Amino acid sequence: MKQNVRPPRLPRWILKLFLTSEETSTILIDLDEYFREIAKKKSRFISRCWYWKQASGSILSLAKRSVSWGATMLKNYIIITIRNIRRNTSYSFLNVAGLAVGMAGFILISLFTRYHLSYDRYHEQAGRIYRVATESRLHGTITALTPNPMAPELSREFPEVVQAVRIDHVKEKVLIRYENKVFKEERFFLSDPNVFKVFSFPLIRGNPDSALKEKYSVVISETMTDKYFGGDDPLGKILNFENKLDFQVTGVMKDIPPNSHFQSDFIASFACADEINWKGYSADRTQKSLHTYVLLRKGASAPEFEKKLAAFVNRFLAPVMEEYAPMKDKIPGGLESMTFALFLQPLTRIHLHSHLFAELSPNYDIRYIYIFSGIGIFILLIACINFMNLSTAYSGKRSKEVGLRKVLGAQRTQLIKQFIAESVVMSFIALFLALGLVGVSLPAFNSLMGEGLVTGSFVNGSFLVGLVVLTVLVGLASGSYPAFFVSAFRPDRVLKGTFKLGTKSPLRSVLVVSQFMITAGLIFATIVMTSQLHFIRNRKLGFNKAHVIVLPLESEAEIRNYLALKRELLEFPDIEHVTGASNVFTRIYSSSPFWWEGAQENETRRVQKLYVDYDFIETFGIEIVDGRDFSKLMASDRSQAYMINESAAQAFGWTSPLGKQIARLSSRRARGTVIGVIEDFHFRSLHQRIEPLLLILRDNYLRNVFVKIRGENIPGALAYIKNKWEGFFPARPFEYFFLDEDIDRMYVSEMRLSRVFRYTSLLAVFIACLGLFGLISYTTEQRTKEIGVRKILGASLPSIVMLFSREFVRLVCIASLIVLPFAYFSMNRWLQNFAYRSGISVWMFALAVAASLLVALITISYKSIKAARANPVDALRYE
Amino acid sequence: MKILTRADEILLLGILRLKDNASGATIIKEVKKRTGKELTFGSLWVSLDSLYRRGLVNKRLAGVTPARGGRKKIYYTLTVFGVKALQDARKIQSSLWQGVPRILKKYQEGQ
Repeated sequence: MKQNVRPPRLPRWILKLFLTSEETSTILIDLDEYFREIAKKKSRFISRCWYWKQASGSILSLAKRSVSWGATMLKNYIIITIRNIRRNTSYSFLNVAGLAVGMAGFILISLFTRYHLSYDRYHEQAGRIYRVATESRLHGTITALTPNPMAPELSREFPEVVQAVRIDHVKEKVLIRYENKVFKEERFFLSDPNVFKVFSFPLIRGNPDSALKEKYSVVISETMTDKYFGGDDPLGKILNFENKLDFQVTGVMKDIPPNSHFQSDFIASFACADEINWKGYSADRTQKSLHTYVLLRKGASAPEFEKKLAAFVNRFLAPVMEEYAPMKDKIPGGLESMTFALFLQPLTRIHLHSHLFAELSPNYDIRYIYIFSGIGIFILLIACINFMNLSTAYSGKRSKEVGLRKVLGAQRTQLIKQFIAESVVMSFIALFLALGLVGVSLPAFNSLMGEGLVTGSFVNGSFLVGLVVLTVLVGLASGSYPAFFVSAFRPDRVLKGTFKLGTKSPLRSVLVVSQFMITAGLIFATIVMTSQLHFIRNRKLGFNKAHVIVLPLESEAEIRNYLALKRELLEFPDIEHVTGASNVFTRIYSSSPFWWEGAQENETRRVQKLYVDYDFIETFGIEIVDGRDFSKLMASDRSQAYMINESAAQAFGWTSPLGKQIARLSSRRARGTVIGVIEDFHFRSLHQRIEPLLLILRDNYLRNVFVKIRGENIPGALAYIKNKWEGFFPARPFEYFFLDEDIDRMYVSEMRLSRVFRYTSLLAVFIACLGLFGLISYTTEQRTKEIGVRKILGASLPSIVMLFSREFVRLVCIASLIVLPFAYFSMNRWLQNFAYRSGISVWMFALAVAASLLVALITISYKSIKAARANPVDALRYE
Repeated sequence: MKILTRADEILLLGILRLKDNASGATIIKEVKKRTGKELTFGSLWVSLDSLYRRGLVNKRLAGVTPARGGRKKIYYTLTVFGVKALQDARKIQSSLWQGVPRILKKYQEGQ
């Protein structure tokens, strides 16, 4: 006989959790008794097993029972909730509205982030597709482009590469014609026949295996089918390319979804690449001009494969090295400069993590996803805090109900359950309101985010389930504290009427503080961003950007017409200047190595260069610091003159730059002389420092015509330009843009972010105000009698308002003090993105605090003034 | 009046047999003896509670013993309705089985 016959502790403890009432706890006593009996007869192990079986079986049947009872009680809770909502309409409205607005904000932002996170995940083999990118050895420039014949060699040499496919963006815009329909198309690509085996672009018509096999075949998107052929059968039709080649339509693919980094309307067979570009294009090993994607075998390791690529590059470049070896002295940087390293980018990471040269479409930044998610969570948090705060404050009104329930035998756990269930019901009501709000505000939100792409199609099953889970969580989180708080009321005191809920509670203060922390932080961020953007827009760029129209020229033939076009345009009275340059000069990325006087014989330095026409300096009103402008009277200016900016003079270490010599590379021939120094002007975005820049006079590289218009007659001038343009280039549609708008576009993502912050801080302020409003109306109601007494004893209206405001002002100040260091730190980091920044000054802190305070005071004053003005007789007559 | 389920019937009969001594452990033993199936205390409690709510059994708290730490034990007895329900069940039972043994026997012989 064993001494120790204590039942096993763990199952006993678990079972105990389920035995909530006095009566059910007799189960445990019976069970223990029986266990002792069994333990006397059977071995320890068997009796313990028996106990486990008993306990788990018991829990199961008790749980089943409580579920069916739960349903009955739930019905009761819902009824009570709805009654309470009706009884305190204004409070319930504040509560639910705050929560609904917060949820709506959260849902919108999560739709947005989901959209960006979903990029390229729709491909069936998304996890095994990688893009090959190159890093040049000499300059460390990383590009998404790869040499042309690499894809076939990769798939030949590596067994783990199932497919390798090339995607070649032929040109920014190509001319496509079908009978009399002519359009400029931006999304024309060449690709290998296996493109449909790698990417999931389903074909509606045609055979994906053979569609691009034949030379001159093209697969077009559904939209293009409608655009060119209307209702006709597209298969077999002929599309003309740039008046040069004829392509036969061999397939129609579904439109590529918007959440794809590769957007295409025409995929033509790569076999004709040489004809479209130049002879030998597709075999050119040095030219990095297209994108290569590989599909790895199932189970193949990408890092392992990546390691083997270094050796592959050497093999790949061997023929080139051999060919160039004899002339290696003439290559700047030597043969070494031609080599590069390869690395892999997972397809699904391209959209958010890749910022290389020559991306297929503008990518998004993962940091913005983090920022937006953070904002979304903050907004939801504010709303939850609000909910908790109001529920706790108003729970005093429910004290009688709680007392009565307790007297009638309600357990504390039951009350907790009831209140939590109530807040879950409230949060579901809020969810429905929020969905309505989302539906209404989606178009506005889309234009705010700058993409009309976040649509209902992203609301799928899993998203809805997520929403329901979220709502339950919000209900639980925001209902739990009030529930514990309320259920602790002592029924004797409540029912006797001596119960009094304090108007101050430490937790409520903490909640108000945290709410205003978020609000003040967001306001501060908004102020800093707005001031930085203001700074950008108003910074003296060093040139005059207003009233300048830019006309891009596309081909050699068009550039040849430049001078004639310029002459004719200048005849119009409102056109002040016409000039040309090789780049839209706010985005110069065209550097070359230059030798300068004072450098070593073989020393060069990469400097940005811009080919310009005469009048360039004058058109943009750029200051000449020293020397002179290019002049038509000086024949030597055409070939041997440079204008440099101040940064260049500094970089070359010249104190008197005029007359100094510069040369492309280090060749002694073709040296030029500096004839003028211009003031530094911002030829790039303010994210970057001004670099050394050379202006070179040339009239055969002028790819952009700049037309400066005098006065306000822009429509008239535009009509004139259009007329002349069509006279010169009848086959080409008239295209133009305004320089100042183009400059603004460089800051589009910052502007968007700042706008988002502006709206979210408004939202945060709104929710916080709702909460404050609810709190203050509760407090004034509680203290009606006190106010009455004070007034009778001679208190003035301001003193009573002060009485109410003081506490909240204190809380808002504390909140600001806590949050501002964090806000300063993070905004400072954001500002690091700009080389030129406005900085953070004291007034921004002050303004953020003042704005939060003002908002809080206005909210409070409405109710407190009303309370203070009330006739004290009404307040005191109650007894 | 709802017809008793088999499980209800088994419990009620057990309580009837145990007379004044029908509490958790004894009922479990009794049921095990008759049917070979061991109930858990939890499911027993749930079923008894439902019988109690339907007015078929009475609960009685008694028997404070030192061994139980001064806690009471619940004893169950049948109410008038419980007895009536059993009688009804018996009637239904016998009418259901009326003549069936003969047919069953035939089947057995047929095999």
